[in-house]
Amino acid sequence: MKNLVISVPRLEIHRPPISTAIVAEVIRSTGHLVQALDLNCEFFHYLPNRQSYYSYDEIWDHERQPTFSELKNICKFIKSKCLPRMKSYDRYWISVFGGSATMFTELLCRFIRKYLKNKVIVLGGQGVNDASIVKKEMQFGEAMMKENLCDLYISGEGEHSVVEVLKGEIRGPGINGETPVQIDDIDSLPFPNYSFYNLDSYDYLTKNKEVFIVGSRGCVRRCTYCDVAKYWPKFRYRSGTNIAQEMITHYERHGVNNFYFTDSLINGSMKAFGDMCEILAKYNQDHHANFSWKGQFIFRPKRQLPKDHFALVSAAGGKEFYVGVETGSDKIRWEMDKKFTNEDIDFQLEEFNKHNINVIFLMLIGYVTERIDDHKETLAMFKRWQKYVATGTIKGIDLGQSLRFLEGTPLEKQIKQHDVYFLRSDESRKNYISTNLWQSKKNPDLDVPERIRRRIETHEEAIKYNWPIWRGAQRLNVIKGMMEKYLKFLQGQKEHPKKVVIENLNFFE
Amino acid sequence: MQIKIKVKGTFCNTWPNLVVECNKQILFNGLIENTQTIDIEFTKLIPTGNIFYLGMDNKSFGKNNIWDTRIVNNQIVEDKTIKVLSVELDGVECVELFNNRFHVKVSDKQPSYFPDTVPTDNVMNYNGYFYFNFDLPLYNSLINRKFKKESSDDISYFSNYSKVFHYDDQIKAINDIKKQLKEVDEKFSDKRSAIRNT
Repeated sequence: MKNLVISVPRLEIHRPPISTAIVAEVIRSTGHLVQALDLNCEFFHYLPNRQSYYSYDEIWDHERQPTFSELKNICKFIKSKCLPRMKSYDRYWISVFGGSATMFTELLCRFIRKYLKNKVIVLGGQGVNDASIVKKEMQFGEAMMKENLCDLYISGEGEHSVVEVLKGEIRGPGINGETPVQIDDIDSLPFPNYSFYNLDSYDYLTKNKEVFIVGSRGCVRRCTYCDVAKYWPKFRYRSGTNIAQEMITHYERHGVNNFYFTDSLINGSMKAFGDMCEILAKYNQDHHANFSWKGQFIFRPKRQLPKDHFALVSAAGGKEFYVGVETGSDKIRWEMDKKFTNEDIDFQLEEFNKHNINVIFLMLIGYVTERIDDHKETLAMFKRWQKYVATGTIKGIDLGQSLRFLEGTPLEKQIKQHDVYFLRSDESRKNYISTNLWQSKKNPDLDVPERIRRRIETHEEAIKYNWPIWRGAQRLNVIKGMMEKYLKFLQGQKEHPKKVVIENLNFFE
Repeated sequence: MQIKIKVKGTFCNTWPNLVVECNKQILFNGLIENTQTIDIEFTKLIPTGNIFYLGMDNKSFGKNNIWDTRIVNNQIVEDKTIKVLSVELDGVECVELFNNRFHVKVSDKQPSYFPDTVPTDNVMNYNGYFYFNFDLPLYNSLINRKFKKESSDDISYFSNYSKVFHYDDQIKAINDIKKQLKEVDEKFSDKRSAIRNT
């Protein structure tokens, strides 16, 4: 049986996809015939220019319906460019990378069923099981099965499930809705194999080729608002030697020296991180590989950091880190279960500055316990750290979309503790509750309009001090949408608000 | 404003003379022997159009038959130069604002057709100066001068750093949201309070 592993739009076009590079390598290493096809990259080259490619983003993100001509164009692309390249294969492994890949996947599968008979379709990836706190709609993988648009779907980590499916299994952990099992020893997994792709066809952000890399799965932290632990309950990490070896392999095989870590935190294990940095720093020195890598990072308490830590990180090629700073208030950061202070940030910014490492702040405005004084401390950070914007150390700040209560988070378990209730706003979608329209009886001043006010005040302060606001307009559009939902809720409100309880959660409607 | 300058002078006949000037006020005028760090405090800044100069003025090009470049067998064996290693304003490195362009003041027997500006890697090989402008607030101005680029739509929005420091769309969105907040205040404050207090 000939296997074809397929990536679909929308993925970022700036790096080859890692998920299919892993799946293809798993299939190859078990002795099966396999090839990979990146339809996202094909679509990029099919369209006349970048603008045209990016104009489809809103469609993939379900923000608007495609026009007739756009739909025709997608169908033409599938029929004329995809199917001819797919027909000689027997089994398709389609990677559904989140909700933005579901529309294309569904269309592609419909075309496969119509024009390519007797093919096996296997879906995998995060997109097969999207869920929200109270949304009871069917998951994508299940829905596709019911419609006979796929034969199997795999959720969770695919490496072992793929092997089981290759053996002919149609049941087992992670297959067709069964609860997946986490893989403990991720050091033993094969490296993603980028030989399946033409690495020259990607639209890299710099003149150097860049690929994704996975150093760990899950997260060592349990930040209260974060749902990573729902998907990966246990934090597992590769040894520093193993990660460094993979990077060196990609460099020696493909000349790749830029890497983007997909980890929740690249320095989750200080031991593995330190080992990796030591090996890469030495390799850099001996081979002038000029490694450069970036990823999500956590600021640590100053006392936990070894002497000359950041000199080593820099020598190893550590270049750009995304850090969940979240707030300017030490008290709130502590309540989020993040264990570092503004003083720790001061120290790390200075070290980053000294060693030419960039940082992007990720923020969360309006935490459930945030008081006005905490908010003022957040406003104060823009002046306090503006110097590091001017030095180029702070390369960006994402002010986020305000706090949501996500399923499977520690915060979800604290709903009663904080006396949180939700506002039902959207009658058109039954059972759908906006998880950002919440209020807390323990902190009544922080109602929805106040959270929005603080969010935009923070944005204005960032503008005043000329901070590099990342995705600023997109984020504000979400806030605007939140405001519209709140207004709609108020407009439909009677004199005496009606309380209801759904699945042990309190709502006003 | 704290100014911190690190320069390296090379000797030929005498050491080079460095002149530091801001808004036409001379802040430093002295010889640079090997590597030196100069700390200056300057307060007479104006809201817009501050100009910061760094120059050399004592290189001799044949005056009284003195040449401050000594060549033996077509090799420069001694040369009077100043290399600018660093210029920090309030702790922020600004040397890149010179844009590697040195403005030459032709002197002595230098030919009159010598170019007005020469590209250089922050080295003063002639009499003349580097300069850059800045406004107040200082950091805001330096950020724009160093990092603000033309906005491009050719990069996916996940990774599009060309959009940062361009705030027009964001200000418009903020104003729209403020209008909505005002509507809540004006039309729905009773309902808002009722929900909050129930």
